[in-house]
Amino acid sequence: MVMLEASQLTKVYGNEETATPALNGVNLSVEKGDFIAIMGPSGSGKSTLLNILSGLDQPTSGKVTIAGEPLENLKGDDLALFRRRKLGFVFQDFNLLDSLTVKENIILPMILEKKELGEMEEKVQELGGLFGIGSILNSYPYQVSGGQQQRTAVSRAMVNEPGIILADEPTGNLDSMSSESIMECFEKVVREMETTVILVTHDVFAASYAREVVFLKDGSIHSTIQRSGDRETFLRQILDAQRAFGGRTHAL
Amino acid sequence: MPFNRIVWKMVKADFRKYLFYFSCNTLAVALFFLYASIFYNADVDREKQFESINYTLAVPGIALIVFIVFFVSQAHQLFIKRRKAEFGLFRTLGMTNRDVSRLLVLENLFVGILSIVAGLLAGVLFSRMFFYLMSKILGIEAVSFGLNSQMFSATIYAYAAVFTVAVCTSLYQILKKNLVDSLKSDRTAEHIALQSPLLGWIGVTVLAGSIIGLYVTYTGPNGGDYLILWTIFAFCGLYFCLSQFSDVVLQAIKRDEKLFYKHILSVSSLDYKFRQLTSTLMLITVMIMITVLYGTMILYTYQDAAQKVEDDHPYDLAFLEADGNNPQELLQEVLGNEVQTHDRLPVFTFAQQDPIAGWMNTYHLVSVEEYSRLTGDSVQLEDDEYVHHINQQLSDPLENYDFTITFPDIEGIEPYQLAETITEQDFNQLGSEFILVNQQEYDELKGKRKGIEGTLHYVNLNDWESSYDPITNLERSFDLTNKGNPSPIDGVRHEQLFHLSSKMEASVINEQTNGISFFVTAFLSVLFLIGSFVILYLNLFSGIEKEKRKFEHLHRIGLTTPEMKKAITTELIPIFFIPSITGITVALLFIIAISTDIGGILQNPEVITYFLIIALLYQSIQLVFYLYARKRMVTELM
Repeated sequence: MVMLEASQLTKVYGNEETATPALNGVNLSVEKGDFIAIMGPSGSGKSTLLNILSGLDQPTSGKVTIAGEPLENLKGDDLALFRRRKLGFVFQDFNLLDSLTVKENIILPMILEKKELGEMEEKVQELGGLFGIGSILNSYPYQVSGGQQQRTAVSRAMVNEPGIILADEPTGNLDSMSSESIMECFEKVVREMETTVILVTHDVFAASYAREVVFLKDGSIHSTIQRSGDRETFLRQILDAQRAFGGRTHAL
Repeated sequence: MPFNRIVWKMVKADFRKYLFYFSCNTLAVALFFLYASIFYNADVDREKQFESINYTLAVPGIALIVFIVFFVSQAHQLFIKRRKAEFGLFRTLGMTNRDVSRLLVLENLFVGILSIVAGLLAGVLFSRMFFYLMSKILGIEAVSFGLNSQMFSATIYAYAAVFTVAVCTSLYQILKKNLVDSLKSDRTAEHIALQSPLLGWIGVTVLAGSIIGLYVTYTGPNGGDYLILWTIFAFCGLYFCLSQFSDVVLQAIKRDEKLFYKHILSVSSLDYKFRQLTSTLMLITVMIMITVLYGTMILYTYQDAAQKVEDDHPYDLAFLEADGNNPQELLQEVLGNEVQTHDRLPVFTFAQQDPIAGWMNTYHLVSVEEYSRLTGDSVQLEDDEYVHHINQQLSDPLENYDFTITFPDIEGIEPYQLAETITEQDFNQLGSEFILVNQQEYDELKGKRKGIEGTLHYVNLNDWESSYDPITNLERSFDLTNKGNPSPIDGVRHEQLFHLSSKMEASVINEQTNGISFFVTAFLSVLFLIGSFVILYLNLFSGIEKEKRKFEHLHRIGLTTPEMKKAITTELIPIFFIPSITGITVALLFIIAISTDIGGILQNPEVITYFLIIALLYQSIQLVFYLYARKRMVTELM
């Protein structure tokens, strides 16, 4: 089942005189339960692509369909509601509210959906256990580590049981230990909940957890590689592909 | 690149940051000037010999100065907080303390001087506009706009002192702070005060206790002296209440999960803001309380005095005519057709020594028939009987006074029987009481003792308010006649007997003293109102970038526009209305306590009416401010 479909996406910033193309005819098809990493050098259009896929930005031309719903049909608050119900977001700088506890941050999307107290409590315990943050639920974000904050963000993204999680450099602000635990969280999300994960990353190590890596260059898809063996093998494949692709590697 | 150019380049690059700081300082200078423009106003200055105007000016003046000191140092702190990381970076790059001090002093000097110029200009303009609006809206002509050098110099000195202290404090803080802390200052949390619900309850108890204390002691001896003491206690209690508000109320909301989750964004944000804004909210609450309390008191005094002028003057004009003075002709001459009614009461005026005080009291002996004709009261008197008419309304029962006299105090005549003591203000006060006897006794007695035979004139005009010039002329003629003339009664001055009692003069005096107090209070109230709004507004909007980021993130995870608007509204309402409602409530409790002095609030319902008018006015303006701030907030955040 196709979860996300992007066809002929282009994005040009600026006016006619200062036009800067960011995306140049990107086509992408993601199945339910896929785990895709999008890689590429700075300025290759990774973040632009993620923003367009999530409806935060509009393409200059082209179309995005998520779970059968074309995003162009949704405007303003309908789009916000769509994001709340169908998508989950994980950001590089966690974006948790300092004035809320870990638990309150996690259930915020459920509160907005006016879910029952019992259901929220059950969900937060389940996610807390799954991602190993059950003991810090009553702490505030500034009282816990970066890795724990990002696991909180992943839990928040999962709380409304979305079809897709979109993650923008989720390991960008974390040390290697924390990065590992976050990527394991994403693996669990894909494996145990069959949720689709699309992540944008510079980190080869993080990308090795995915099942497919899409390389972007100058706004177009340059190449893709599929994972066939174990993670170590896939990691080497990505490094090789990146060398061929012309990018620098400093993950190992 | 020379150092000065670096400073200038930074000012240009960070224009918005400087603009905010400059605006705050300009406003502080303008507020100082507005106060100076009323304090050194020529008309107000003349009235300073009366105690009441000093009192009216002093208390809000102190409050205004505290407010401005707080305001300037807060604006400065906000400005410096944003700059500390920058200064830390400069020091890492090798700038010496001397360089940093130079930079700080140079840019502050620049902002300070510009603020003085702009603030004075704005102050002059606002002051002119204020005076115009005040006289148009309140109809008080007693104070007219004027400028003098004192206003300018006082403003500059006061502002320069406050500003210098603020700059020196932050200079000290920056140089003392270690580099790492400076670099991180942008990211460190605001100071969070000691939190304890118990402290909140102690605050409520202290506040309630001081109001009850004021209520109990205010009417006692030295009651007024305790006022300041109780007020200080009340403010301390209020501070604890406000500082613990988030712990007591918001934590209570948090305990009800359903309610809390319904308003999770606003409640959590309010919790943080109340901790951060405690001092600001306290200042605003106190300003609102002082404004409403003062406004009510001054309005009451002003209106009460105006009513007293009416009560004390049943007739527009009154005077005594006796031989040698012929004001009746003068009256015709100056007032002509303005006279509506003109009553005459033949009297025999004499003086008698007060048995207790020893001074000379004057009395008008009147025949009861003439008295009845004029007042409409039917009084019958036998021979050897008299009525003592005290021409005033007494506030206490008659038994509490001693009006005993011996009448007639003539050798060889037995004192008459007192038939009745009337305490009514039927006539204008001309400094004498009335003794009523029947016509026959009147005719007999006036021949038996020293005194003057004359006529009391009681005149009503078509429109006394528009007869200012003729009445003033008449007054002047009375003064001229009195000058140097020997008094016909020993021990009583000529002008004491022959003066003009006019409603106009009393009204002008009331206008001059209470009117100016009222004007000044209204002026300062508007100043406080604007000041409190600006300080709240600046505090809310100084952290707008952070709020904007927060709402952006929330929008990304699916918060809709109506949900964002609701969150902003639920958050702003308490910030705007808790201080005003608290301030107004405390003011009401103070008014109730202080009203014991005038017989209690229930006996003076007009005090409540004035309070409600002022409180409603204040609340309505606050509502307009709130709607404006909300609109701006929504526009900025979405």
